[in-house]
Amino acid sequence: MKSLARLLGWIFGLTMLALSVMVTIETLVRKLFSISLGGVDELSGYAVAIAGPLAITIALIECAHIRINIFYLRMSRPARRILDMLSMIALTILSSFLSFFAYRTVMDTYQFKSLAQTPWATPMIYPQSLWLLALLVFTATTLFLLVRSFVFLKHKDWAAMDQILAPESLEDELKAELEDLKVR
Amino acid sequence: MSMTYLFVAFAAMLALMFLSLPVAFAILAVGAIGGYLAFGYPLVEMMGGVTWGTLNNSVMTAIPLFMLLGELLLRGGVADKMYDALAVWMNRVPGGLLHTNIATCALFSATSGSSVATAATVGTIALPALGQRNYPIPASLGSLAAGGTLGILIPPSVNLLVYGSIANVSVGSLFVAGLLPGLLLTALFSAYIFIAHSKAGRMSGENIQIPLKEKIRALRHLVPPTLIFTVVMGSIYGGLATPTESAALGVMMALIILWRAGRLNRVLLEHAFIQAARTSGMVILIIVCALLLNVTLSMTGATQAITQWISGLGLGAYTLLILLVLFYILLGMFMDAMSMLVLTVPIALPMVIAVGIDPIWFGIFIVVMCEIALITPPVGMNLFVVQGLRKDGGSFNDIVKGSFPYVIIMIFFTAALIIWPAIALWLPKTMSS
Repeated sequence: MKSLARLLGWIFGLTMLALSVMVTIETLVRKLFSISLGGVDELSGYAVAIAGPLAITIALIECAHIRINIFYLRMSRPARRILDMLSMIALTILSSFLSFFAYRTVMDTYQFKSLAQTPWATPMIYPQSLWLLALLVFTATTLFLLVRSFVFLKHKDWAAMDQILAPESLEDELKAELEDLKVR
Repeated sequence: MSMTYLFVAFAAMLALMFLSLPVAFAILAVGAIGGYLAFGYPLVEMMGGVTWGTLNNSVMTAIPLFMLLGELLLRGGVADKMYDALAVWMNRVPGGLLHTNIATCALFSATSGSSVATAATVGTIALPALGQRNYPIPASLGSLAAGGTLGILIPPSVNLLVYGSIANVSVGSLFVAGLLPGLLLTALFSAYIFIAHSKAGRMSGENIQIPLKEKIRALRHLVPPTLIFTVVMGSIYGGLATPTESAALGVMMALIILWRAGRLNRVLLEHAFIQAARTSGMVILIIVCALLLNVTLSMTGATQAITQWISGLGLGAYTLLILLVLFYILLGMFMDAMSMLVLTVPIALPMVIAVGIDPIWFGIFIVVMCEIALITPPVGMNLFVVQGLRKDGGSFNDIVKGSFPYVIIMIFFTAALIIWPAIALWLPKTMSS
């Protein structure tokens, strides 16, 4: 899972760097020479639409999606594990919901051969297919984690289960920050 | 659409959230089920297109870029040296290093979006120095916890970005609007320290004169963050760039600064990428779900229902705002700032617009409410961060006690903001478009 997060992190980061270079050049050229390269807005929209679901997947792997744990922290371990399982099921439903309706949208695009309302008139099927693919990565990851947590549940391997399901506590986050502070 | 349904939906959402289910799920569940109940499948079917439209939007583009900018500056250590540089200038002011805490947090927050990172970095450097010089413990801890909250008001601010995308308000204007309130609040914090803790740090007998030459040399550490902040905010204020463009410029500058400092390497990049993706992913998912809920809210006429309900109550703007302040302080005790923002904006915004309040002003107002939420117990994130940094094993109450005066200052500041809305609105009005 950590290596998946690393891989997605690089894809996300390099996309954002490429985007920064492109937007910076466009902004400078536009201001200094009053020439617009055109299409940069459109491309950056696609870049984030595709990189967004990858970032959501990384947040999932790192257990970073926001949960309000005021009552959670006051519960017993078994009760927390039930809530962790429910949360994982909830995220799986959410990711499947997004992927399913994204799929329907892409099918419509395919059927009507929709074009972007821009000077380039990009056939929307290209960026949208990649977007759907990124959402499917998110859905597949939720499904994988859900199945794994059921396996851990069956074997009563609580430590392993907590590792993939329990929300990152503030202490963990702080510890990571302090570790990082030491090395920089 | 009656208000009863709305209250039921809001209560259901709160219940799911307090069950510790993911906030994004709670929002989407209510949005999708509510939409289905009101209009059946066709409304739910629209949600795929809305998701695409939301992600493929220029406001959304700015979020990961600002996150990456903050991470690069943080991981590259650009911000770490600011404390020492400010400390040599502040050590003879009454209140000494306590001012350094506030000032470093303010400057740090101008580059970083995370309040945990802000409090952790500044706190780690500050606490040993404060302990060595015998600063009173609650006052030291309080200034760190409260200083850390400035991060979400002083632009670039993630909370303002999120508000802008949910409320459909210009992020550029919001950033510019946040500047003056952010500086004023910083000044108020410092004024409080000046008055209440003027003797702090005097006992150390360490009032060494630092030669001016050394003081000026220390200033060089302030150049990179100031430069980036000036370019980012200057280009937005001057109408030269959109928030996305200014974030991209900032990222490029950060890379150049890190490269010149010899710190640009694979490990740093990987770390910054993953961290930026993590926080962006968290925020993007919530925004997508909130905008899907907005579809249901606008299609079912909830917005008009709220408007009519508020007009029917005959509340004035002041009464409504006072009620909202009380509501937010209460909610903020139990909820983290980002969830509070996403949960309440779709409902609170039509209310305040109905009584003639400017949505940009309301963005600043709600972020100040989020700041209060960060330091009010039992769930005040910054309180826990600062407690986690302590090595003396003291009681949590020290921090609560130390931060309490800042809560009062923020409440007074909110009152000032209500009486003189120009504090937030004057600067955006002078902006060139």
